[in-house]
Amino acid sequence: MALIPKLANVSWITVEVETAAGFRLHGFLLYTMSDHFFPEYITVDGLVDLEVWSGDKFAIFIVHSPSEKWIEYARTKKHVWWKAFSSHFEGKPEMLELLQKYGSVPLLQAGDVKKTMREVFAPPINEYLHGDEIARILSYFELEPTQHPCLVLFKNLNDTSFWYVGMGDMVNMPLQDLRTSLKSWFAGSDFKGLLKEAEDA
Amino acid sequence: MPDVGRHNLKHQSVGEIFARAKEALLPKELAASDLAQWVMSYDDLLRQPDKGEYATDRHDSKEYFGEWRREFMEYLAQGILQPRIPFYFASLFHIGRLWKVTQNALDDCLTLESPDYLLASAQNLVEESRRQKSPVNDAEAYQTLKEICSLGIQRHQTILSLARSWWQMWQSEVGEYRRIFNEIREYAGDKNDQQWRQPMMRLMLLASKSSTLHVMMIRHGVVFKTELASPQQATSPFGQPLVLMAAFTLVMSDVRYMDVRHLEHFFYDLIREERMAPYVQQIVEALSKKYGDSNPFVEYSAGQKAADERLQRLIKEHTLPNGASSIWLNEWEEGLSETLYTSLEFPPKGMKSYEEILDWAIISADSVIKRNLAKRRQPVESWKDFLQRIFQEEWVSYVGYMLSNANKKADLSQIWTVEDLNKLITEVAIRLNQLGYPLIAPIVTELRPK
Repeated sequence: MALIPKLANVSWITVEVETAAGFRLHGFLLYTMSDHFFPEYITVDGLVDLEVWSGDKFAIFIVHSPSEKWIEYARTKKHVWWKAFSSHFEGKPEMLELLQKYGSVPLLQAGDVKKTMREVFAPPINEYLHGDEIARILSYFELEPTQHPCLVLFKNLNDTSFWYVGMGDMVNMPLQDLRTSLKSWFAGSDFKGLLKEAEDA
Repeated sequence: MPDVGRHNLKHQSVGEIFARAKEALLPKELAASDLAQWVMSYDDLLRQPDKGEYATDRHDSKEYFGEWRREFMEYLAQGILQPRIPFYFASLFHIGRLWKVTQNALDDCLTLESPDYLLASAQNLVEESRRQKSPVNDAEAYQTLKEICSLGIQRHQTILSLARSWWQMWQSEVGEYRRIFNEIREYAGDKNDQQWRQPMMRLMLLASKSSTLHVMMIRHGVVFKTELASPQQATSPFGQPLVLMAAFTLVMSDVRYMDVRHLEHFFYDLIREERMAPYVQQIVEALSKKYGDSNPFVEYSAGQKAADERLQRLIKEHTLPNGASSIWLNEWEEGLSETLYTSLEFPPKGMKSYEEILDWAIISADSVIKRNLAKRRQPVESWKDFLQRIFQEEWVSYVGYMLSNANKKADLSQIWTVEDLNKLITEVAIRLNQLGYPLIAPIVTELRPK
């Protein structure tokens, strides 16, 4: 009796399945808001760059909350965050200027880590960006909680093996240098070797 | 350069890790909730357990023929439930993210508020401003960051209370679906029992209602994508062939078993709630305009300012036409101590210091008076008499019961006496009067009235 379709549309994550069109590997990028300047880079050019550099044998996605599929996170996607933050208050113009000018620079000393004003006052709610969440996911992959930012690559969901690409050395690199380093790595022998290994595995 | 390596997982596949990872997005309170687990694993409800070695031929067997009715009932119930699961799934994660991310941000703001961290942050800001060639001075940086931080704390606290009130609504709506669904499952198992019809009808009626949570989320600016854009779309199953068929089956089947009298109250509540909905929305909008991010109840927190007629007016203003509390009232009520019951037990005498008992008693008495302000005043009853009556009826008498309950199990050395109670009441009245109450300590002659 096939009256009820299964709830496939309720699955929480969209994963590109392996197709005959050429995808060999799937991967996701794990980083926290404190992994400067990964969040900033991904927000600006990162996704397009990664798609181009990784070529047609590699599909990359950013992990979002399952509610992403049904809810528009307009504030974090389209709105200017500091305006959204200050709209509820009669903020002084100099306060708004400060938020606008320095909002994405890690200046706030919240305990041992430096955070940005955006992170502390208008954090995005639809992505895994917080240290404890990333640490939990890393622990599921049997990795240390500090092994971020990183790329985790796998061939298909049933696999029990994966490739880990640690990018800790790139934290705090200026945006342009970060972009150059990632571009060199995707064009270099390490990534080609990894792809070859994945194809042969 | 990146450090690359291949890793082997010992216990699970990558897909299984993804399934677990979604829970990392939610705060503990939500991830551990039975109802949240029920919605997250709803897909499992559709999977029938394997029936053993003849499972593949099950549909042709006599055994299966006897089970078809149960399966059919479950399919019907699932069909009614299924259209609204995506909404409750999406809203669960939206509420959970709002809660968890805001809590983290609030914790950061509270850390940042301490002078040492604020000073360090101001110095970082001064250095950065010099680098950007538009220098800010030390005092200006410190003061502005302090003000932004204080605004951030206010904003995060408001968002947190909103998330909590949505979570309450979510639990109430999903809890009702699960309760009826479980009833259907229970009755469907009994071949001779026709009682499944009533919960099935209730489930269909419930599912035809708009979700109040959905309406409230839209009012607060949550934008749903097309699939869940309207409360009706998100929650109404009518128009689906399966549900129409279920309704037809129910209505056309043996009417002797369709005792709709039991549904009278349900229909009444449903119609009343639907009729009230526009008024509730109007009032919520008006309250949002008037109070915005500030909570007018804050000054009346437990142990703070005494209950007065202004507080009574505020409570009435924030009690919605359907009897629910506004988010501001709800947040304040959550911060008050619990109402007392005659079955509660006080700790045996000597277990806690007198200071601890007195501290608890002051907060408890103040909370109980404030919780009962919505009660009607009796004819010719002054405000002072009204407070005195609440104090005696709702707090003093219950504490007497609690001491009496404690005495039932206590050793002789741990027995509470009437004198102990009178001493406590006198101290509490004095301390409450210091907050602004006009109370007189009554003289109690026995712990528990006979």
